[in-house]
Amino acid sequence: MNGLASPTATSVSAKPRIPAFLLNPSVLVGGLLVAAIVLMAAAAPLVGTVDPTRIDPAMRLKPPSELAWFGTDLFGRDVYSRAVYGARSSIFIGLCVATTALLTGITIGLVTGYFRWVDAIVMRIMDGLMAIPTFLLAIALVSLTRASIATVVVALTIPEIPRVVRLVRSVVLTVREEPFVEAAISVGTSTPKILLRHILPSTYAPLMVLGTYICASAILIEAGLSFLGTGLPPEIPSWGNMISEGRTFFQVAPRLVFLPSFFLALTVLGINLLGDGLRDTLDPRIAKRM
Amino acid sequence: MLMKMPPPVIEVQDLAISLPGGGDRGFAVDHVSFSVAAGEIVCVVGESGSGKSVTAQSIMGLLPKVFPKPAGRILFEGKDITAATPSEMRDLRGRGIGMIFQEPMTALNPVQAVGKQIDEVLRTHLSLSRTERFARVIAAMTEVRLPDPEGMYHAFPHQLSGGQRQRVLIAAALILQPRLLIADEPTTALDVTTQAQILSQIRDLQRERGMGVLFITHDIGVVREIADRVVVMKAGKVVEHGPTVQVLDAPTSDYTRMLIASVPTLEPKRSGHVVNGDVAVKVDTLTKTYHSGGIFRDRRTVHALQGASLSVRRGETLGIIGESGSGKSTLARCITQLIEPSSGSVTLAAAKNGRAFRQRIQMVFQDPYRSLNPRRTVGQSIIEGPMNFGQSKAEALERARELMKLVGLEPHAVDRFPHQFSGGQRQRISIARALAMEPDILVADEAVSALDVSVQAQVLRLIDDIQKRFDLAILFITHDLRVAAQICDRLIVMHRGEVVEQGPVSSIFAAPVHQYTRELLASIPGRAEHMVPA
Repeated sequence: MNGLASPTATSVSAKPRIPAFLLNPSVLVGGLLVAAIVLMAAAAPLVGTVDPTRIDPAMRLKPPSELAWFGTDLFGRDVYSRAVYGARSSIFIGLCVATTALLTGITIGLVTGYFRWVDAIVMRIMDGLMAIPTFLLAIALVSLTRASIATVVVALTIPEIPRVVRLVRSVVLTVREEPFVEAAISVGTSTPKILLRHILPSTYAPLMVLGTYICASAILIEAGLSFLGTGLPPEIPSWGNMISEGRTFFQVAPRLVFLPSFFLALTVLGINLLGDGLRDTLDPRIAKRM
Repeated sequence: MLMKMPPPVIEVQDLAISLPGGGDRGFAVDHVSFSVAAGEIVCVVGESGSGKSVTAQSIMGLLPKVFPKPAGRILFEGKDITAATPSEMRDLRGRGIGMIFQEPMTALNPVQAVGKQIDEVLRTHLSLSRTERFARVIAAMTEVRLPDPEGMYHAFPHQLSGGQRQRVLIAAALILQPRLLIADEPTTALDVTTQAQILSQIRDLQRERGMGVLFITHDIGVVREIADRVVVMKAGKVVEHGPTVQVLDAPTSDYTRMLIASVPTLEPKRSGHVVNGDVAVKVDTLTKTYHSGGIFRDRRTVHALQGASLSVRRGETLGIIGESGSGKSTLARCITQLIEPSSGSVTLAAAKNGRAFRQRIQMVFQDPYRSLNPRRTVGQSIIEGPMNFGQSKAEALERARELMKLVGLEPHAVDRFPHQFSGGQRQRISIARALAMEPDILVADEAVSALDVSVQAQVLRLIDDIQKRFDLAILFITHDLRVAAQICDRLIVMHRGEVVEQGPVSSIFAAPVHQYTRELLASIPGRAEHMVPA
């Protein structure tokens, strides 16, 4: 193709534009869902809840009432309050895992992509990390130390790092061959500045997409770990813990499992919709890679 | 019109294709009419954005989906094909109309042997036995003078040179004996010596078979070489058409005149230019060797550069001439320390007040679309270098505005992003970025090759102007001898990593010593008319 005439400098005025991805329907729906859950988590004390950890043996397994909208659990704790507070754990873990994985992955990815001699060594280590099953790693870590949020975050982050590294590295490998990078070198820009100023920005779009997937999968896996008893300590309200505890009484009181499962499904659906929408609008290529 | 015109193979009547989505004009192709008769070559010539490729694509029925259905009529041997069904069009392509494209690498499937790809045309359109098809493919490959057709049948595209790939495409396009060949810039991506061969081949095949050829190009030299008639397009409109001699030697429209005048002539412009500046840079037996492969594979060694030596004075322009793979870009990158040479040295003249290497030697890159970071304003790109060396932001920006003015752009355009500029404007910005460092030496690596001729002429004038103003030593790398004639004082001719000839432009052009230089000079399209009589 011959390329149509590009607009001349005079015909384009610099005005702030609404990013196109905000107008994508799945970004909108997913974003609203996620925003609602985050708002609920942030405003947990204000939405008619009581202390989610208060144990009241006299109130064990009560059906829904005015005091406890979704009834109480085995220890007399309010199911509704626990589910709302549970959003805090899930979202906190999702965000922690996504940020840590992204930050670590970006750093390692930039370095391995740019310096070829580091590449061979680091990428083999990444291959090794990718081979570790998340659940086994979490169980091993919990049995070595003890169940805590930090342990869970570490266990969930480690297997995600190689994915980020691979993505960042692939972008760096293409962008560093661009003439504008050579131009920056030839005006004396230092290597760290080249990485941060000229190369890193090209990774933002695909990383936003990958970040949402990591977040969703971290929330799901945390719930799974808690369900198996290797996740968060049982006193911390979390959806996985609630489903795990409610499982025994599923036939007499299905409500114990219903609310946390509903929230969990909604959150993951919201984040995945957001991610899909971002992928379609920001970076169509990543769809093939994943 | 004359009485005994043969009936046209293709006749385009009042073709109009509107441009989608509010461009700077309403039509990509604006009510265009022309025809190609059997046995003639019609060249459609125009600069980028003139609508010449879109016209060709609509004839083939291969218009990209962003365009609406074209209005007007396209008659192939008297039959309107704008209303043809997809299967009729499929049958027409190949049997009726053959097409070759600009980029011979991407037009071939990299994972299929080239013989199979020619064979595919036969399998699609005819029902022949395997042996018959093989014989026809070999015959077609022989006809386009591919060496060792039987052996090459099983070769993959990456094993062929650019010229050989283009020949494979020509063989595939012509194997069904189409009455019309559409060639869309078929030689633009090729070196001049290869271009000359391909052009003469197209000409020969066309004469032998009496087919019509619609040849799309931006190069007036190519037009002069092969066309019977010319259609000049600008912004989707036909501005002039007629027999080649008439259009090129007595153009009636201003645009055609401008287009022809912009084509650099081979006459050395600087024969009277005296250079007496100090030596700014001295390069001594620079070599660069690449090793590929590793522990598990055989090592391969490529000698990209074999002992190149040169020196450039202040105020002098040294041209480095060569085709792709000659090592000229490697030389430029070694001199600017973008890559490390394997051996040899680059010495700059003694530095005044301790200026760093990167301040004293600057580069202008080939591709104006990729040499500026698309995410940063052009101002940020220009001030990056000076700020690296301690200039304050305000000071650097002030200087950037001055430089924008100097290179012929609005000073306040520093806040804009590269995509808001045209190719020529971007190349001016790249020059401004290089000048911001106040260099002694400027290395221009194919700095005007990606530009249309009219823009090319302007940028060449700018480079000439800044050289005088700042007393620059310029290393001008190009594959285009006509461009070199415009701006260079001396030339170095490179071939396969070696310097094969050097000297003043006028003496190299008048009396080339090395065989390769002679070949290079002889291959320049449309040259006969332009050469200064000896």
